[in-house]
Amino acid sequence: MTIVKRDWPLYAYSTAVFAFLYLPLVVVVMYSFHTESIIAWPLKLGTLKWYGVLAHDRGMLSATWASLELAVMAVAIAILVGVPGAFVLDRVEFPGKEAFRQLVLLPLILPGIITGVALLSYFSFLHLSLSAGYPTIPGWPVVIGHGAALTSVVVTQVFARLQRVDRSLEEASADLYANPWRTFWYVTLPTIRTALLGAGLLVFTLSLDEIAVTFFLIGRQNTLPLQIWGVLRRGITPEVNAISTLIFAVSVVVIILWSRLMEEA
Amino acid sequence: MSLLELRELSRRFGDFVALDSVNLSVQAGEFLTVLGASGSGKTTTLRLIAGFDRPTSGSIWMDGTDLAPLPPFRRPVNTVFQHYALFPHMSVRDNVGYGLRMQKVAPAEIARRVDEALAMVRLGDFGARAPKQLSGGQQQRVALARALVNRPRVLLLDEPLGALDLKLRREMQLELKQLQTQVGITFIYVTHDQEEALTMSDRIVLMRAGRIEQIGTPREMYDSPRSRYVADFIGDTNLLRIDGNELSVRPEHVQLVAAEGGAMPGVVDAVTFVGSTYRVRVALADGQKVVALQGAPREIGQRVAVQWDPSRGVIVRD
Amino acid sequence: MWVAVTLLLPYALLLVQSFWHQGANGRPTHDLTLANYVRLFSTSLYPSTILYSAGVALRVTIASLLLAYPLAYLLAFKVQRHKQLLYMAVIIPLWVSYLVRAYAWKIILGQQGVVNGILMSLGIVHAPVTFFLYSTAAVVIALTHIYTPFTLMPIYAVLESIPPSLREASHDLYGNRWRTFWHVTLPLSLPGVLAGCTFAFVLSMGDFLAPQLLGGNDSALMVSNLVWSLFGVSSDWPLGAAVSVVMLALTLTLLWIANRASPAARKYR
Repeated sequence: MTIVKRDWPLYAYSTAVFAFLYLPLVVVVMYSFHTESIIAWPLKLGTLKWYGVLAHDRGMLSATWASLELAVMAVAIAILVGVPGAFVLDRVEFPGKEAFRQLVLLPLILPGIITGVALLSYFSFLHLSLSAGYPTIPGWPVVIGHGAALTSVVVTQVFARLQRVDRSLEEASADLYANPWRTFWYVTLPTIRTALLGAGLLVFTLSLDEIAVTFFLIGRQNTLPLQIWGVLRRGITPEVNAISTLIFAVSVVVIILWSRLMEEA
Repeated sequence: MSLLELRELSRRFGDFVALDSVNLSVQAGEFLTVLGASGSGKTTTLRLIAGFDRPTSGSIWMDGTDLAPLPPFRRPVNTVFQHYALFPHMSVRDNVGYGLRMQKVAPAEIARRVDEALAMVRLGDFGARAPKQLSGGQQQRVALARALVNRPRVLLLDEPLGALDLKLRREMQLELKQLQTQVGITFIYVTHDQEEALTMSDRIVLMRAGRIEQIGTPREMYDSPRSRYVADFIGDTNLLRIDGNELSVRPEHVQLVAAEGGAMPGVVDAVTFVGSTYRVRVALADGQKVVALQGAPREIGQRVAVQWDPSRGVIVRD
Repeated sequence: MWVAVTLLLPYALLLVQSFWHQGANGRPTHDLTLANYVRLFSTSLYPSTILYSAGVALRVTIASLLLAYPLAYLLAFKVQRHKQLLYMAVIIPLWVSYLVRAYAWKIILGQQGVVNGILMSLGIVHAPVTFFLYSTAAVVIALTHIYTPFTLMPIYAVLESIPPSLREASHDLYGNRWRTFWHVTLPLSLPGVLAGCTFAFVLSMGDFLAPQLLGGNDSALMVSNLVWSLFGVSSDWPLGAAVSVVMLALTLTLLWIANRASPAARKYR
């Protein structure tokens, strides 16, 4: 990459911004190897013991498991409801369509708290216990909550891709003796596949990290973010650095996966 | 005998009339070109025959059945699309075999026919490639193979050569014509390029504003245009008003003779070199311009007279 | 058709719920009343918190914009080879848990934190500076850090889509680099800027985690924290609902304004 001399202020500034974006993460990662139990400056690298503590922390482990279960179910709901929704948005004309299209974006933009609160009231109105379904699943309300909030992610992503699908491909398929179902299965679906996978991955990640909605709808079992949150409120322990570093590592892997998927687009 | 018949076929989009009660009879085994400018209705006609669109009224008859209510996957008709519409996520082989697969043909039979089709378009070694690895011309041949492998009664081609450069286009025109003669399938070919139509067709249907302007063999369309529009659209021509008649004279039939004694005197006002000949434009006394093709250039300002064999002048109505 | 209904259901419920709340008096009863709203607007706590949140959001938005725009510009125009990679690098922090990112700032800004530690060892200060953490500044910094990538994405997308021939045309017509930027690039990038700022503003205003972690118990409460406590500790659901509805209305209004402004910004395209 050729760097033009007169552009160096721009480069310097951008590097600073980059540093700003990564500084906190770097700090957390480094402190996860900190030898003292109090998180203070100066940093003393040199131990893996916090990871060890983490591995034995029952609360964290069961919370992680619960988060994963929840995320998987959220993805399932989001896809099952979202894909048909995206198709309807793309193909069908109905009154109020434009308004609906804006509406779909709401759960993504609104503060999670509002969504959480609204759902809580709804469920309490139905007298549905927050722990319904425990221990097989973290609780029906929270599952539905995640699903509902994250469906819009699938809808918007798949809809955007559908808009770019070349209609003549579907016509060609029909021309070649495929009925509508087979056209969908053999032609349309493969074309939106990467968008679908990308959206699924996104939903999974967002669900894992979800705090606001989860806080209001959770029953007896904590999810990982809530567990960490609880620990944080009582004071920082270095163990939190360890789990954060792990989360960071996983996120990096996920995003590399995701961008590979997007590249195929 | 007539293979396909369009009867009173119409298509309206709100107030806009794309096709206005068109009647057309397509003969088995012919290469028929539907020619016209954008908006003339030629693509609409094709789409109606293929089934991607429903007519507002009228019918499409083949083998005693009206195709109009049938969806595309129930019609024995296949299409070669303008931008090929090859399935990007499938290999060339899978693309070509798609229609056969949908018709539940046995895998062994599919493999055999796909090989045959690829050989016919001279892409035998390309089976395993992905469409995006192919050039435009190659993709187009895959699209052709994909359609032909199903042995349709009628093959529809929607301006398939539009995206190719001139030399390649000329080559493909000849190839397509040879292919059609060899395979014997009826081709309905849509284009806006009149030269292409003249080169390839057994018959040409010239469309304008949703109606058929004239049908005929290329020779008939060229030598005997029935209206000003046809004369002007197909090939170059001079349209002159003489004695209250509108006359069409092709530039190659215009002769330039000495000014003295000539019936139609004028002055050369433009000379254009086009490689094989010169286009010499003469301004007549009454202001009209006549273009003649000459082997050698003339001087601008030179006084000449124009004339032609009377049998070459065709009276056209508007 | 049933698909549309299935899809509509969760959202409709969400919305209906909020409206339904418009008034219940005490939790046991379901009478409709506007008493909650009255209380909301008359007690100074609520309007002032809303204003405070808006103020924080504004600062975050401006800071994010200042950080994001140059970086987006660099990525869009000055980088050829590793563009994808660098863009990914900018996006990665977004995917790292929000909690982690907010919490990280605690370590950095705390009394025994990194910043203080460095300042002390350099001898600049002799006692830990307390105002870094548990202050509005901390909240603004953390939120800026979290939402800058959000702001960057639409700006980058818009900048990327400007045809190079437009900028070349400007240079051809004697525009220097600054003028080209001011008259051509900037106006064309406005829709993206608007989108990015809207995201940053709306998301920061509704944020509750950063204030809780970094704002301290009294000094930096934002709206969402209020709702949180009303539904949690204080257990006054109807009032909490009323506050939520107000927030909802505000957010929707902001979005609507941004939507209207967008065609005006788009006029330049």
